[in-house]
Amino acid sequence: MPRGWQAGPAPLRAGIGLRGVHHAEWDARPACGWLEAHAENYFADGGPLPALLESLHRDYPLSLHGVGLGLGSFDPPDAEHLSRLAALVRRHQPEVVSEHLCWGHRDGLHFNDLLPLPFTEETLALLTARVDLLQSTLRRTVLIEHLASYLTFPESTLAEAQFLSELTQRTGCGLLLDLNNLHVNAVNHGIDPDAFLRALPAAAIGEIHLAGYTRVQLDGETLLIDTHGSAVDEAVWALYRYVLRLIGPRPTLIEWDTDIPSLNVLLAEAARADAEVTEFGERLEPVMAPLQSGP
Amino acid sequence: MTRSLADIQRDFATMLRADRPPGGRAGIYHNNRRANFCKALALTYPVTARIVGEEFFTRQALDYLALHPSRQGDLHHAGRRFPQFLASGFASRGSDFAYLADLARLEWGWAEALVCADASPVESEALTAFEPAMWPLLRFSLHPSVTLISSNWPIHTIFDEHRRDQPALVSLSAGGECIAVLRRAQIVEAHRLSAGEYRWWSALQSGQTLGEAVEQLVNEPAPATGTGSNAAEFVLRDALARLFALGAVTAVTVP
Repeated sequence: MPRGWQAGPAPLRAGIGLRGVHHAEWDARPACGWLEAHAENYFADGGPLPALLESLHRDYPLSLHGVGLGLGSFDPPDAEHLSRLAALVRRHQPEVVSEHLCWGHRDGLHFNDLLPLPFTEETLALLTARVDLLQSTLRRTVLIEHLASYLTFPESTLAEAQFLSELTQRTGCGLLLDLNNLHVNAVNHGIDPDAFLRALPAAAIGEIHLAGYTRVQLDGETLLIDTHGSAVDEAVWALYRYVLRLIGPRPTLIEWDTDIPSLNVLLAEAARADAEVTEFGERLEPVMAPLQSGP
Repeated sequence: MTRSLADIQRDFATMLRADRPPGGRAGIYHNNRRANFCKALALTYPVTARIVGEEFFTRQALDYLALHPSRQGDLHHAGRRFPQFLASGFASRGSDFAYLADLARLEWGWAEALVCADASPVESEALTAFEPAMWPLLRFSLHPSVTLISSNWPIHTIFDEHRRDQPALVSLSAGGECIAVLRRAQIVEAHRLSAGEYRWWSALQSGQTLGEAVEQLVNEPAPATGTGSNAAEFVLRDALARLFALGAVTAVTVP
């Protein structure tokens, strides 16, 4: 079986984020393009969790999505965490591995959240070294996901898309394009989604995430929170259709992390993403370069 | 003046650790960190969380977070000291909630048993392969998932009841219970042990020979936990049969 997203990515069908509450429902092996598991949930020396992942991977392509490395932390990554991730990747040989453009620890304390970074040359140099370390430790290319965020830093000197683009050029990493994050950031920070998308290297985008958000009022302004606790919003579906037209289809994932409904609801969301791709395929050609063989 | 990345993250960390959230958008991160931590802790301690209710559990979880902030990127580890935290908070004061620390010990044992290394149990033939005269000298390796707990309260009953949809009331004065948590055929289970079995399993787990483990039952006083006497209810043949039947032994060796 081909490994690594350049050589053989997850199929161009929609997948679903594997969550503990659905473990039993997957026993029936419902039709689904692929699965994405949070790597840290399977950090185990043995037992039923890695066994389950192994069994599911016999029937579905698998992506391991890291949420705890805090690649952009000024302090070095936790060596034990990195080696556990490497062991997990070695054992399961997933089709895709991804992590986040974020930081998460300082002075020995971990905040267990995806914390935002200033987009500066200093951060870019640090992230370049960290992605190089991750890719050389895992001996494979990874996809890096941009965050949904609630604040920006006055220190930033680069646009986020410019930062991401530069990171792919310096490290050869791919990008995980989260359209919910993009929509959340568009509302929260007033960035232009179209300009963001057009500034990204289309060929480096190896995966798309879709999820739901929550709308809150803070100090008299509307703010979107990336809660992954509801269906994909129509605004995000519209963005998805736009991206399909712009860059062509990519392996697409439905994420749902809080107030998780039954698996059927997620399968229906995945079917909708597939239907969007089918409809796109019948009507349009992408205006930008489709997925190449990778950097 | 432009701050370095090191300073930005140190300032942010200070904000996150402050008792109160800052105003504005940074407060979302202050809140997220606490919510993520409480949610993860409640997943590790579902029965404890269910018994005390969300509000009380959250208050304990936040006090615990302040004392024992996470030191790893994987929140699984963050609950390790929660039983001790509950013990220092309640047990010493003779509070009605003193049993919670032992219940939490059971749940931590459960969480650890789920992720510990695999090891294949051996059948009782591993023992009968030796001449009976050799038996006192044998050492047993217990499965890495085994956690042994002795409590003054009926925590196994409480744990069992509160994993049902409609838990029955459990009287705290019903007496103490001893428990073995272990993983058998990939499934984690909690079994009640007699006080004698508990002491014998503990001795075997600590590396004592079968002979030493039996001898200490006779020589040492029963634990003051009200969990029953030792030797009176302990029959070695039955205890051995159960130990092997539960898949708790992974090797029998001559030192």
